[in-house]
Amino acid sequence: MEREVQRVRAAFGSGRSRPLTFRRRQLEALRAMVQEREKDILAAIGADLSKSEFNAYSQEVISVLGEIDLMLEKLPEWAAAKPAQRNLLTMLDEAYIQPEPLGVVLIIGAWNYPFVLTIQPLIGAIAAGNAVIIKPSEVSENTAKLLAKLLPQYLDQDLYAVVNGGVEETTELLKQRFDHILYTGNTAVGKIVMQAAAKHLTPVTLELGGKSPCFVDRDCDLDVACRRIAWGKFMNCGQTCIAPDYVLCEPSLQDQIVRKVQEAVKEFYGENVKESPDYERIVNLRHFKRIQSLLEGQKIAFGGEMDEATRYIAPTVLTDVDPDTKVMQEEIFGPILPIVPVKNADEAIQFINEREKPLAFYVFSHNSKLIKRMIDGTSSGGVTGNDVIMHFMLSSLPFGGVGSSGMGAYHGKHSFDTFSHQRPCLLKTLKREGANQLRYPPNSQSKVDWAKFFLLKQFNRGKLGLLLLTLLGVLAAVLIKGGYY
Amino acid sequence: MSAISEVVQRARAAFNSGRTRPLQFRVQQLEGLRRLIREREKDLVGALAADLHKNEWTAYYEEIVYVLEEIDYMIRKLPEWAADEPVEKTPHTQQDEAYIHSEPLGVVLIIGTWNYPFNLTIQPMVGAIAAGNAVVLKPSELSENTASLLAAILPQYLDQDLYPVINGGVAETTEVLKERFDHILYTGSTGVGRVVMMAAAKHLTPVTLELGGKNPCYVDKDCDLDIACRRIAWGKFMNSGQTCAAPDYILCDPSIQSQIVEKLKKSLKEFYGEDAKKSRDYGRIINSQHFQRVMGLLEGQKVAYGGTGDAATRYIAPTILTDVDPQSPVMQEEVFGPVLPIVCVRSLEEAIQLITQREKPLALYVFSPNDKVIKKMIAETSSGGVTANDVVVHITVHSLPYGGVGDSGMGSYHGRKSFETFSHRRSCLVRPLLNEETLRARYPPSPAKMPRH
Repeated sequence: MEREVQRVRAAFGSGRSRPLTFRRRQLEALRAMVQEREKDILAAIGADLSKSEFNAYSQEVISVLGEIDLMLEKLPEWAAAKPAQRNLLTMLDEAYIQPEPLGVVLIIGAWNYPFVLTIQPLIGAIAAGNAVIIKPSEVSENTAKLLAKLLPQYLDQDLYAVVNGGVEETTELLKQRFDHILYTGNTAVGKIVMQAAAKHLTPVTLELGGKSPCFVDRDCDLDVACRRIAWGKFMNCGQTCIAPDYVLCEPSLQDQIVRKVQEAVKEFYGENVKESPDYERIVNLRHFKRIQSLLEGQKIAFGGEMDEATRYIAPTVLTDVDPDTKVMQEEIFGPILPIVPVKNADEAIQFINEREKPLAFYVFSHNSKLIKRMIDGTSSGGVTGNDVIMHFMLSSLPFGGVGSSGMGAYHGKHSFDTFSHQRPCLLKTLKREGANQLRYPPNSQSKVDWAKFFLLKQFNRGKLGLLLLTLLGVLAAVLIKGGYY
Repeated sequence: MSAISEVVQRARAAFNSGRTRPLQFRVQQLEGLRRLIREREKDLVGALAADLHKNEWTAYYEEIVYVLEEIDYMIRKLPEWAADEPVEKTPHTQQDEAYIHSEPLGVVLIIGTWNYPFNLTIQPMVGAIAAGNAVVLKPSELSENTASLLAAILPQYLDQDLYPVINGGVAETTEVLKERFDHILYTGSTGVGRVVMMAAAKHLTPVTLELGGKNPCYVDKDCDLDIACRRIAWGKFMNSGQTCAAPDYILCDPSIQSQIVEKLKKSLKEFYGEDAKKSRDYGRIINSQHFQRVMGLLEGQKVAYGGTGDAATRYIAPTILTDVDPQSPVMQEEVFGPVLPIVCVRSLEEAIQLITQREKPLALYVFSPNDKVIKKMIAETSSGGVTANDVVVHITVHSLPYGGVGDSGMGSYHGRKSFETFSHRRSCLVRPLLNEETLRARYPPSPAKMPRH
């Protein structure tokens, strides 16, 4: 493991990932890989999650292609030095922020969207000029094996390496030194990753989870709301970090919501959900049993059917759920939708704030004032109003958590920035030493007074004004030195 | 529950009350801080004089003025920075509102340090207050006068529940670090930085670590050595070398070494006179432990100037070492004292190699009239920040975020970056409940065959 990381570090040290042309070629090769090997990729995802080709494409592959295109288009702009605003004392100097690669980045993928959650961060890390070690989740083993096979066929083999394995291998890997680690997964392992990173002072981006609440207001179009909620909840059989975890609503809406969600489920998956090619399966037996246990003692409004052999769990809605029961204590990550009745929006806000900050917050209402009030009154990684999931799709919005749901963010430019060191540079000349006289010892009260005058001046009188002020400063310095003050 | 726990819980309850949310409240607190500085300047200078032998000029020019600037800037810009920031939309999201909503994180812990004990505790605090957080301050116990003063006067000017000061040593700091915070900003050493991050990991608390390193200072053969050496001397020997962004060591061609020594000497005499011990403007080492440490680095070295010290007053003379061996102890740790080693290199490439073999420093300095030399040095090295043809000053520009990389730290602050560091930038996409037809394509059932694309 150590040798693998050393090899990748040496490749970074060679400097070949610095030129933008090199990074661009790698991204283009990645795009070629996705396009040429699409069938293999869709098959691997399909094998891991019982996902149809269409779903695998529309849920994962499309986002990857979009991100590559965006990165290729914007790379010259994002990698360029950004001029910074100057103050009086630096007015005539060059001041800018120069993005540079960090070095060797570790990306630890997750199993629920095994392709996009590993490759989308990779795109940003490559674009920012780093070497990358990818550790796909072993739980989605087909995708993990495929990535190990395909990536070396298309990308620079020394700069971008895939390391596969279970807990043991990941622990070994985390002992090595990286320049940034991006981890997607659960809160508990997030802590372990950050502790390992602390030993090397490695900055981390942690994309974790939580219970993303979904408040449904009285004043809303329930047909539309329930269809959108059902779509986001049951996609990938509920195994989505930003799925609406549970619904909060007034008791009077509960029955309607149940009916409309049930209708939407029928629209989507037909009478016999088990036979729909669009409905996925739980990834493994352990999670199947875990989700099964969440139903104990609950009022099942519809659904609840299970088949262990195929790890099938029907889309299920629970009503009048008690907040202290098991299903409300952990992230469900399955096709179970609890409805927790609350009196009103204020009670919903209170309920949400008593819990850990979630990765996403959803609110459905015609009343935009209410939406703003609920956003202001709560915290979460991100928000979608009147829909679910979609804030993930807009790459100009940073995607990440807060509190227990994570730290840092990525997507689009935010990826590029996350995997770069933004280095401030101030380039002065060896001239105009006069302007510096005030700063040198020996001090005097007049120096303090002049400093107070110049350093606290508001600098919005335009360039000519600044020049005048500088000249005044030089004059002051000369006068002080000459003993006039 | 311990006293420390109680203080933190009280700050959290105060945050939860919601009173820091309105901008007006935050501005009031910042104005309180500004009043504190103006009204208690004498007390502040007194504390800094007792801790580090600063005087009213060095205290003002090196610490206080930057905090005042930050406060003014923050108050002026707060409405703009706290407002929702619209983001670029795609064809699919044209009907939607898409923006980044800045919100407070909650309770922020700021662990200060002893070399600029006022600035490095209060300047981060300004950003944390502006972003709407409650702030727990833990000043460094080494600069004990400033620590006591802050504990005494902050409650007189700021909300007492929201912004408590906790003082104490290693034991108290360890206890504070067991509590849960929503962000921790720590300024100090790399070793303790690891401990802080480790503690933060238990609560998944994001951290900003402002650490240190050996900041190299490359001096090109072709430059105006008079000016270069004056600027280097200023930045190196301020606060008796106890500055995280000070040029730690010089790299230069052997042919200019003695000139550099002469010109450094000349500037030092201009600044501090023949005997720096008598100068009001020359600082003292913070404590005996650091005094011994820095004096120890002189062992076996060629002392071209200075080299003397007085343990009783913790005074170390401005010292220059020549022909320093890169393997010797003075080149293995951050000097953090008034000792300037000169290491000879025969070329820019050799300098770059020496720098890149070591940990990434907090700052990098390069003196040259040749823009190509400067750009090459920047392109082939890494560091927190860079100043060319001067030292230290990049950290005084608001628009340049101040922070390290690698062993010299993570995250940054100052100006707008402070506000962002202490905020959660929450992505918001608000759609209408209409236009359901346009979304039909995303709902199952999927088409029987995969569409061609």
